[in-house]
Amino acid sequence: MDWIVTVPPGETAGGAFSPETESAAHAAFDEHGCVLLRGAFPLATVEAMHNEFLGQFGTLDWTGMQRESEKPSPNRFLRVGGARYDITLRMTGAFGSPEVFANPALLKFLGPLLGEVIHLSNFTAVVSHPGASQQHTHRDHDHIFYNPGVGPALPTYAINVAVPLIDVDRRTGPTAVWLGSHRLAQGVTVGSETMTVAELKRGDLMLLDYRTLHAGLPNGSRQSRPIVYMVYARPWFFDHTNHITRVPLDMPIERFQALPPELHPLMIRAYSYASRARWHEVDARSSAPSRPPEAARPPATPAALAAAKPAHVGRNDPCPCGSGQKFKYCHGKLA
Amino acid sequence: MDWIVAVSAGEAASGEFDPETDSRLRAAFQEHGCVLLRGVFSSATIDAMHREYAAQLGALDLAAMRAQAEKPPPNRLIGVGGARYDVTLRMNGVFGNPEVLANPLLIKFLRPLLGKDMRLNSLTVVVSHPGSSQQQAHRDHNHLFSEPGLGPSLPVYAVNVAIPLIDVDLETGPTGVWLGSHRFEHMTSVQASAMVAIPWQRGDCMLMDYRLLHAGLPNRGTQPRPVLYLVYGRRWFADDVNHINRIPLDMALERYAELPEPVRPMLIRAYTHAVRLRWPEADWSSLAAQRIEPRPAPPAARPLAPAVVQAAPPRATADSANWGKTGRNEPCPCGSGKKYKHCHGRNP
Repeated sequence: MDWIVTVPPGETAGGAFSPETESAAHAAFDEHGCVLLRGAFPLATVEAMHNEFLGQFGTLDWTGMQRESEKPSPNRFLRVGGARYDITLRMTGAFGSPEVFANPALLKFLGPLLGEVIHLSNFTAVVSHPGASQQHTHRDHDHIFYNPGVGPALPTYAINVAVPLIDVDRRTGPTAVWLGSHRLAQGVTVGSETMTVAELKRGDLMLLDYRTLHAGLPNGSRQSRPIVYMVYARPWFFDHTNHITRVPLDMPIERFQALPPELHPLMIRAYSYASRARWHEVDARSSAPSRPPEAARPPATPAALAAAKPAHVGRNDPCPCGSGQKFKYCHGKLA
Repeated sequence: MDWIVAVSAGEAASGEFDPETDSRLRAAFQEHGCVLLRGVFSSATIDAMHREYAAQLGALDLAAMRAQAEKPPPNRLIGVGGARYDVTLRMNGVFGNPEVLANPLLIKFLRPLLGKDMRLNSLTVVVSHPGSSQQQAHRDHNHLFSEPGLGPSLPVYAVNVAIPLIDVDLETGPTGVWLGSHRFEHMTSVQASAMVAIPWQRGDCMLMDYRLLHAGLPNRGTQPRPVLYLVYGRRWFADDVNHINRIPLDMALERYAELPEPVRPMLIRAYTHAVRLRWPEADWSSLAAQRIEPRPAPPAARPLAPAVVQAAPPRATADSANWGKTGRNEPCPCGSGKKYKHCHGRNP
């Protein structure tokens, strides 16, 4: 069973997978703990998400994100390895669109895997900057029972859906996966000779069982690589490893209240956080753009977006890691 | 295997179970999903907890609790059926004491069940006011997986530790349990006659698998019945049913910082809540305004002989003199506007 399933354009446009597509994807996910759904999101949706990302955090380069991540908790920014940051996104604009976080075809696919009630648990972006090295091989979370044999045999409890906001070729560094590793016992190690890598195109979705071993590959390009991660979980599962001090969902309460009621169970954690999170304090001490009321925010113009985009790092520019060396002698060696 | 296990004074003092007690306890918990441990806490500790409880919440009668529970989330109080409220306690005084939060006997029992990285999920008190009716048989949380047969076969994922702050006789209403029901696939298969209930003494604690079917019995006594609940869970488990809109742990950051290093990982969620969440401004100040002097410690009651009863205990003979501070013709403290005799005072 191939772990890559291509969604025909008609199904993507129509907002529903055909039974054939869906069963191929389910079979792949069950066998590999991972499935790459090619073209499952319309290009326009991904472009709107990318623009929203640039509008929210596009001005922050590596140094800026590092500075943010060093601020006291609770923090939007979490450093996840060298030159990689995991950022809680504001679910406004395209990120607040049900077409994205409650995509009908995606939810229909997830239903049989996660059960009747599914919670959106995180909505973040991982940005790997030029010069980011390879991540260590890891699971998003360990098996939920340490008792021998129990964890690997269980159905999935959480699924990480990666939405690349740009085309990610080998040089920019997609995520490598170890197919079938969701069934490996705790502590079993794997080598790079068994990893699988595929280039990602805008519109692709990569779905990872939370137990599947994976590693972000080095970013040897000159541009930052933003990937949105939407985590869907069984209602009792909370990622207490990554979210000790961080709130992983940020949807304004008015936005939640305006959602169709059938989406409230999916988004209940957003409500839970919004009703008691201290975002006002978080954002008050952040140098990132403050959060204006959504209605008051002007739609981003292409020129503004271009200005917000971090400049590509030139080979002879100082390395953004702050070493004082030229990029080409420092983190640019990979490029 | 008896589900009631007595802890010797020596065991309580040393914080170590005899190997024989330990294996009896584990076998009983495995079989019944429930065990009543007698004599874990000293009367002095329980009385200190009762005083702290009274200082925090003693001023709130049924009507006041109901009014608090109706406020918008996040809320400290939730209604849990009839005249019962589940209240997040401030982890002050004895409720912030590692001897209570991480009692050596309890932790030694729970760690092998829930993993070295287990967490304290919640520290709340359930107060059942006089006139509370019997709760429905329920689980604290359902099986994790609804796939047929899977849930009942899994190891325990959370344990609820009930610590009565007063002696709870059958009039006052302890919690009735269905032994072995943590392995039932469905909740519908229980019969009222299979329920087991036993009076609680101060110092006891009842450990329940989160999947165990249980029901709070009616409070036919004259005083509110506060029972402290400590829930310990696996690292990743969170009670999505009860704590979506409630913050179940309330420890000030300064208190957390004072905790001994080895206890902190288990209490990390208290830190998480304190760091990233806020309590609504109006919350505690309004309660503090009603604060009264702590009640005196209740007089030591004579020990009750364990008595296992079937189903709900028989009702007390009607004696209106026993029906507490509320007169029959006064408005019911539940706030219904009806007379007590026509409302919660109706079925003595």
